[in-house]
Amino acid sequence: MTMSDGFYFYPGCSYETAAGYKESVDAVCSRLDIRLEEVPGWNCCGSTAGFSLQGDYGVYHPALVMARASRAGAKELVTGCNGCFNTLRKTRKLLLQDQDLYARTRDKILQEGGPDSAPQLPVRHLLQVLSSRGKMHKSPLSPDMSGLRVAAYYGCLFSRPWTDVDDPEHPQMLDRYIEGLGFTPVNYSLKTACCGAAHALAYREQTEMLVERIIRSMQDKQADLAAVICPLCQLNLESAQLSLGLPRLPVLFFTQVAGLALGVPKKELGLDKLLIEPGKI
Amino acid sequence: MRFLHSHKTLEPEHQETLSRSFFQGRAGKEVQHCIQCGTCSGSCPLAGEMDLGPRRVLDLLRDGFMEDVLRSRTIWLCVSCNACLTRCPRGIPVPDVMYVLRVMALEHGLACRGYKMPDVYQGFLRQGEKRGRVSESRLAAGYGLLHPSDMPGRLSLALRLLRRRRI
Ligand code: SF4
Ligand code: SF4
Repeated sequence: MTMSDGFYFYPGCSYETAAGYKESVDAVCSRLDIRLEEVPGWNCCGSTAGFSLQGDYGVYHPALVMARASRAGAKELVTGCNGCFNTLRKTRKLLLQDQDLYARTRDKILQEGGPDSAPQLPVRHLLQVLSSRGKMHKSPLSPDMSGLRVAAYYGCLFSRPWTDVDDPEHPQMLDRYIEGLGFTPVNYSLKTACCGAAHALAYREQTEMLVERIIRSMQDKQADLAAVICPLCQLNLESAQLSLGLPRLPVLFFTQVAGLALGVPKKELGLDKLLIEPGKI
Repeated sequence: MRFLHSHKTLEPEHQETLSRSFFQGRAGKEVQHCIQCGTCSGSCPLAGEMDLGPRRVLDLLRDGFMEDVLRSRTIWLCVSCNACLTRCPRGIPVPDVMYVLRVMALEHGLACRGYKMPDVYQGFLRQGEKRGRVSESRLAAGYGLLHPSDMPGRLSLALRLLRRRRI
């Protein structure tokens, strides 16, 4: 995937400090010959804060991201964060259905010196891009890794309410991806249960209860590790296990899992940044 | 009927004005289609922590009890998980209803006492606007200054993240 394909990558604010996300995305993409071009001068999408304080006008920040991307020639955006994914897609939907909102948003972008280009683009998740590449691993997994049971965790906003992405209630894309890498996907019932998102900051006890159910559900089905597709899910799933003193289950980004299968050296995958060390691998 | 707030401060006319303005908006118009089936409350991961379930919020809105709704913890506890929106047989955008109510509650000084999410959201947006991007550690630090009692439990996490070069 290069610039000429019209894809641009929107990393979002949590990407770089996430536990080895950037490292593993870089490593996996370079081995698959995918070049991720960042949206030049990208800004924060505003997430739920924008909508919570500005209602529908919360579309301004994500629209500015898309206007900047279209000015650079983007036809489509790719992101690896469920929060950004939802905010950008929701913005596109609102702008396409509400002409008045569209006009006001565009005016505001121009007034603030932003680019005069389309503020809405189709948005894909990095998981969609990588899994559309088909089977990746060339050689069979090493004996210590084959047979690893991996629990795919989608969180809320990858498939809800986006029926065009996957089945909103029972998404399969990450399970199939994990299977394609040679691991064993785990069937458990809380794949799309909420991790508490940004509420973990202010309502820690309440959100840790949510994580406890998720982790226990994975462990009940003998998962060796969890694979996630969003920086905030990763942080919440990992940190609540420590503070609740649960039996530990490592939580890896799906690109770290892919890297392991592709034979990428572990130190290139940022595994040392995980709070729960993946002992088995 | 359980009334949440015995000390009403809004005059009936004021409630009516707020109600009218709510139902003129995009989300408000959709609320009129609610059939009170309760699928939203049954799907909500945080319903057990809320003073009103999402179904009840919509019910009170239609009956004009704006103040009860605007002062509720519910409108701030909603995590925008989209479970209700995905399952609602009427396709009602419940998270968007919560957003509209948040904006209204803050505008009229009615947000419930002890609410904390506005501080999270305001810190987030302010940082985004000032710096273009948001750093989680700076956000947590800013929040910690406003709510120091929430911080002790967070400190060990911060140290762990620091040790792994994640802050
Ligand atoms: S699921 Fe929809 S129709 Fe049913 S009570 Fe909730 S908002 Fe109303
Ligand atoms: S979006 Fe909000 S109200 Fe709806 S189920 Fe999720 S937390 Fe509950």
